[in-house]
Amino acid sequence: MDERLHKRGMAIAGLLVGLPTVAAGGTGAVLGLMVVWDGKYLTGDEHTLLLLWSSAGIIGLLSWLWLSGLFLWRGVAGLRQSPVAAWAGLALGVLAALGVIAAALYFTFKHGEISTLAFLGFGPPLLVMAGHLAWLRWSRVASPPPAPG
Amino acid sequence: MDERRLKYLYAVLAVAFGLPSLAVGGVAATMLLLTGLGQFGHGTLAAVTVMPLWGLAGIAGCLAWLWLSAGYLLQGRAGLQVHRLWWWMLLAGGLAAVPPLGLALWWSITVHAEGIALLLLGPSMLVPAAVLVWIKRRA
Repeated sequence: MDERLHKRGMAIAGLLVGLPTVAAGGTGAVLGLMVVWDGKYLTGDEHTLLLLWSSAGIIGLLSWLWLSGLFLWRGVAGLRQSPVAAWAGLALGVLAALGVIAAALYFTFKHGEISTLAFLGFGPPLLVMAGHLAWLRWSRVASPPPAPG
Repeated sequence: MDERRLKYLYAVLAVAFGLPSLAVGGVAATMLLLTGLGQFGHGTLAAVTVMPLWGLAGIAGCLAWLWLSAGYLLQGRAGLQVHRLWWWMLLAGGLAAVPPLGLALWWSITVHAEGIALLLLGPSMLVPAAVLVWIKRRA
C-alpha cells in the first residue's frame, strides 16, 4: 500500500485516539510519580514498582509522539533512520501499557467492578498505534511515493 | 496566494473552526444516531427515519472532513484528488449542519446571544469545508 495512505490514517487516528490517550495516560503516570514523591501510602517494593511503571509510561508516551511525528514528517525512510533510543522507549511504554491492562483486568475480576475497565483507556490504545509504527518500520508493506515530476 | 501560506492558513482555520465542531458535533451526531436506532419499534416513523439519517450524515461529514484535511495538509493539493465519494460525504455533513446553523442564528437573534454557541454543533466546520471545496475548485 502507498505510504501516503498510511500517513493520512495515522494523522487521523493520532488526533482522534492517540492524543486523548497521551493526555489520559500522561496524567495517570504523573499522578503515579506524585504518589511516589509523597511516599505516604506505599510500603516496601511498591515505591520502586510504581516509580518504574510511571517512568516507563512517560518515556513510552514521549517516544510515541517522537516516532509518529517522524513518520508524518519524513515517512518510512525517517522511521528506518530513527535512533534506537526511540524504539527502546516505545518498548518500555509497551511494557507499561501491558501492566495497565493486567491491572485493569485484575481489579475487574477480583472486585467485580466493571468500571475499572475504564483504565484500559489510559495507555493501551497506543499499543495498536505503536504496532502500526513498528510494522511500517520492519516490514516492506509501505512503498515510498513515486518521485514527483 | 502562495501555496505554503494557504496551507498554514488552512491549518489555523481547521484548528479554530473545525476541531471544536468535530468534537461537539461528532458526539451529537453519534448520540442522534444511537437515539434514533433505539426508537425502532416504538418511535414515530419520522423519528426512526430522520434521526438516524441525520446522525449518519453528520458522522460521514466528520470522517470526510478528517480524510480530506489530513490529505491536504500532508500532501498539498494532490491530497484532494480522492474518490468522489469523499466529497459526497462532505456534502452530506454540510447539509446536516444547516439546521443547527439556522437554529443558532434564530436563537441568538430572538432569544439570547448565547444561542451562538450552537454553532459548535457542526456549522463552524462549514468554514474549513468551504475552503477545501474552494481549493479543489481553483485547480
